[in-house]
Order: sequence, then C-alpha cells, then structure tokens
Amino acid sequence: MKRFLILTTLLFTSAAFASDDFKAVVKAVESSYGIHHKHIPMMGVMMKFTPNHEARSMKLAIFEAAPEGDLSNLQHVISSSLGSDWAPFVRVWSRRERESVVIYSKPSASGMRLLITCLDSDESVVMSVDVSEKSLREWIEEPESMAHRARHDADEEN
Amino acid sequence: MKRLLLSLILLWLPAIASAQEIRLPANLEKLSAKAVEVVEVNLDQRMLQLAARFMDPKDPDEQQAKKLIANLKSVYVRSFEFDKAGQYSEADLAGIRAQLQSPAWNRIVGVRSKRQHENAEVYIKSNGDQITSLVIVAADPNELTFVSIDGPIKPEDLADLGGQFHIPEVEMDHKAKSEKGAAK
Repeated sequence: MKRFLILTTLLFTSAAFASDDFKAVVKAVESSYGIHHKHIPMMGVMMKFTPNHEARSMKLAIFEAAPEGDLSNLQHVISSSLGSDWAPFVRVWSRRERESVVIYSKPSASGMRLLITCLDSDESVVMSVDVSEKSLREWIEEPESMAHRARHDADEEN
Repeated sequence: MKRLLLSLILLWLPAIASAQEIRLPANLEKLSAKAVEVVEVNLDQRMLQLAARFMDPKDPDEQQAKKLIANLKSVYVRSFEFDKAGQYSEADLAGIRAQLQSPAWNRIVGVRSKRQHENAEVYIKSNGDQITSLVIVAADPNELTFVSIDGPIKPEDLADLGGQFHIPEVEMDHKAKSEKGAAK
C-alpha cells in the first residue's frame, strides 16, 4: 500500500510538472511575442477523455493574433521555460513562410510526450501531447503539417 | 523505494548520456539569422528505438533502415537553406572541420550527393574495425547540411538512411574508401 501511494504521488507530481511546463511555455510565448491565448473551457479535460490514435492527453493553447518580433529565437524562448528533463527534438524555422515550429520531447508512460510550439502569421499554438510510436515518425518528417493536423483535430473535438 | 529511485535514474540515463554526444559547433547557430529555412532534428537512442519500432516490416527499404537505426545512439541533423549564394563561408565551417581533422576521423572519398551542385563529404570515426561515428557535411551554394550519427554504422548504410529524418541522400562509388587507407 505504501509503495502504491508513493507511485501514485509520483505519477501525479509528474503530471503536475508537465502541466506547469505547458503553462510556463504559454506564458513565455505571450510575453515574448505580444500575443494572448484564447480560453477554451474544459479543453484539457475533454482531450484527456477523447483520445485518438495519434495524440492522447492533449493540452492546447491557441493564439489568434499574429506574433510580433523575431520568430527565429523561439527555441531559446522555449528552452529557458522548460525543465532539464525536456530534450530538443525538432525545430523548423522558415523566414519565407514566417513560421517557427519547436518541439521538445520527454519519455512518458505511454511512449513520448511532446511539447509543440508553432508560431505563424495566421494562428499560433502551444500543445502538449502524448504521441504513439506510430505518429512519432510523422512528427519528425512533417512537424508543421502534424501540428496543423492536431490543431484541426482539436478544433473539431471542441 | 531504493529500487524505484534506481529505476527512475536508469530511465533518464540514456537521455543524459546522449545529450553529451552533440559535436556540432555552437557557432553554427548564427547561420540561422541568414537562412530562410532552418531544420534541426535531434534523435537520441530512445527516440531512434521508438521510431524504428514503427517502420514498415513489409517495405524492404524501411526494414533495412529499421535494422540500422535500432543500433544507433543518436542522429543529429542541422540544415540551413539560403535565398542566395554566398551567405555562408568556409570560416563558418572551420569549427566542424577542425574537429574532423583530428587523427580519430577519416574522410571517405568517392562519395557524391544525389543533388545537383551539392558537394557531400563523409567522415568516419573508428574503433578497430568498427565505425563508431559518422559525419556528413553536404554543401551547395544555397544550402548547408550537417549530420552527425553516433553508433555502429557503415558508409554504405547511408544509402538506406538517406532521405529519412532529413538526412541528405548520398551515393557511394563501389571503390569508396577512407582517405587514410582503412577502407569500408
């Protein structure tokens, strides 16, 4: 019983830290690029209970205004907001498209947790998802389109 | 509790160890400011094993790549695309070239990029007969790509890895060999 309690506490503590990391990144994006995320009621809870094969336990923050300033420093902004347990995974910066995608990863119970920040002139998002092995490769090969797809799926779920 | 702590430490150890393997010079980052597109991929051993698990066993190419990446420790890719020629110079490459000039590294001659006007260099680091690391420097006037691969690999395996994870596609001559003698 004691071991069970310790394990449960550790699990919840780690979930709470993951949530803190997500919030820290959202705050960092807001303060660095002069944008504010729109509130989506019960979004985190709803995504946890409506998992699909690609993304589980998703948290999502959507920013409708265009980000201001230099998007090429996004990785620096994100890395200074995250704990050392997160590792840089994929980064794509396009001056041509004015788009910046930064993905950090850390192992999770079900595979891999990704923290994705995608800034562009139309709509920017920060999302935290548990991904399966199946979709991991797509996140490596096509990070921008996967981020757009996940955002679209989340919009439909909502 | 002690066992639990030990398990947690073991769980994180590969991530910590692989983070120390990065050999690409930090000054490359300044090229981001001149580039119109930058792609960066960091795959540690855990990520590679996860990616390998889902490669299609029915596809011969993927099966080959799966065998290969399952044994690798890390793959790091940095790619910079520029809107015009002359945006980077040899000085920008000095940091990486200096590391690759050390006696531990050998350049493989007889390697060609599959892309027109792109010059690809492949360097290997060996421990006895076993290649333990491989670096690709692929450069054309508008694009610069560095790939650093740690783990057991043969230069000819690059044909299977090319095109995966943003690794450039290169061709090896059948006579391809190390400049310093020890061949493939």
